[in-house]
Amino acid sequence: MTDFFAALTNPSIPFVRNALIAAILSAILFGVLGAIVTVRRIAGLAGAISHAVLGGIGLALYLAATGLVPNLPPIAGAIVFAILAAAVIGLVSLKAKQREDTVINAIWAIGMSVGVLFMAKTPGYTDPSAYLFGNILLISTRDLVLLGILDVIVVILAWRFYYQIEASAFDEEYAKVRGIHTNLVFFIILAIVAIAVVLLQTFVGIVMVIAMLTLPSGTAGYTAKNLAGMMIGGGVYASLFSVSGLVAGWTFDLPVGAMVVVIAGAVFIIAALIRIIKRRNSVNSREVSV
Amino acid sequence: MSALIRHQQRPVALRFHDVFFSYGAVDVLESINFHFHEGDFIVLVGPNGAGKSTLLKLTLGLETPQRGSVSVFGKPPRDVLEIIGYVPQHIHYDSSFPISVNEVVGMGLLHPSSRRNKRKMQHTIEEALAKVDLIDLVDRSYSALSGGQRRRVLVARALVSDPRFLILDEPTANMDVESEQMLFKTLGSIKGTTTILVVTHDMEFVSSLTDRVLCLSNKGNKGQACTIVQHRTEPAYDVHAGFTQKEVLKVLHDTTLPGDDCLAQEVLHD
Repeated sequence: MTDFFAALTNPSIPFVRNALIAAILSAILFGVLGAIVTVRRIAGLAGAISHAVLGGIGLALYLAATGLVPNLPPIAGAIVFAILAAAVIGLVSLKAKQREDTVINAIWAIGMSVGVLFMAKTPGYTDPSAYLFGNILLISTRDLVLLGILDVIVVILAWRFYYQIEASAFDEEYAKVRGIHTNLVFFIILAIVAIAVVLLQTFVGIVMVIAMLTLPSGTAGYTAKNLAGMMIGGGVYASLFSVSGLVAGWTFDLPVGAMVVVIAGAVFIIAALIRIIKRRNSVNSREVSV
Repeated sequence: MSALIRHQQRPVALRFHDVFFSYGAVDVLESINFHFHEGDFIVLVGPNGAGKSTLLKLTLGLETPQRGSVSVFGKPPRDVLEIIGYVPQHIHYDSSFPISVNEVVGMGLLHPSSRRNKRKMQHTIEEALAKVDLIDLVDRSYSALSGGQRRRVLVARALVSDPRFLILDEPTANMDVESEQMLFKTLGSIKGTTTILVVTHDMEFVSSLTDRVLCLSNKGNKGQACTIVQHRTEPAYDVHAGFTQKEVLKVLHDTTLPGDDCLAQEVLHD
């Protein structure tokens, strides 16, 4: 534990400080977007988008390494694939709901496979697991700036259109009757989730982004009185999970992304058990009083 | 006759003109012609699957007819949504969604893009909840309410914007007797000043508040789609008053009135 805080203040290893800032900045996105993803029940859609990202990363690495598009950063391919996946999934969800499940799983699997194939043909050694599980200690200052900008955009949009987002998620038909363009709200949410997934996968990796979009807000949902409470609570939980995962990962020399998700999952399960026990007790006490 | 002339001079609240609607190859509505005026209390009856929900979607601008036109106070429905209050039959409600009664009712004041002033709206929200006698539950979680209380919250949500035209889809479904009494007391208090359209699958009896009964029945040319016919009503003295605490009206399905004539019913009643 002491080692981590010593490393934090050591100017010769700035990546630890960057990792801590990234954990806090990511927590804001996990809190706000996670609450929306959870109440709209679109975690599956977000999962497919996050996994399709590997296809974009693989393609960008291949194009850059073979000299077809020199210096193409992996994040460029990731953004293109994420937006494309979000657009296809969004259209299918609105126009052919009955096919949604099939399309989500197809995009999920095809995206990953395309990524693996391109990486296999990329000159030099490329390890897909580096992208699947992420490494917060490799986060750059540019990543932090991008995360910060996205945080500001997401918080402003969530504050400005809070009631429209809430109504669209709670009762979509009624929101339409109030004149809200619910399809536009849905597509904007998907697009922002897609971009956020690309940035967040650097922290916890593609596989675990979806866990952090659902577990902190799910835990907050047990006690939150409204969507705003779920966003704030989810953000607080996400920052606690991220920082404690970072400290534990550093201290015990374990992968930070996996550590964060294990802590988040453990707290979520404990919170769920407490809720079940409380409910059972209240039912029993009601029966006794009757 | 002067009352009838005055009635006819009131603006037309809802007009369906020769409306045809289908979902793909399935014809749902055909030759729909009817209108009613501002301040009318109209009940639309029809068996399950007759197209009542589709007719409501057309009225609310959620669907567009393939032929014909729908107008609310002379304009396309999407242009006048702010004057419509709507109580859906049910919402696809997720019981884990964290939301209070206050916030659900506040949705009735929502504008497409602007933020609402929470403090200014609070008084209006509480007034609407008082109309359905749920003021004490303003801060309660929506998921903690009974089915009947939730329906009353949805009625408050529709009333909170003081709508000129109130639409209720199966308002008494899953309601307890107390909630039904409260609903019809509320509707009685706004009858005449607010145009009210109630949709119900109850084909036999309607509330005594009703001015006219429209029925969706299977009389389309191809024998598939439904169309609108008007029926006479008469007091059903032998039926228990029930929820309205007044006499109920029996729908006379064997008597069909001229299609788009809003005066015929009242002439017959005279």
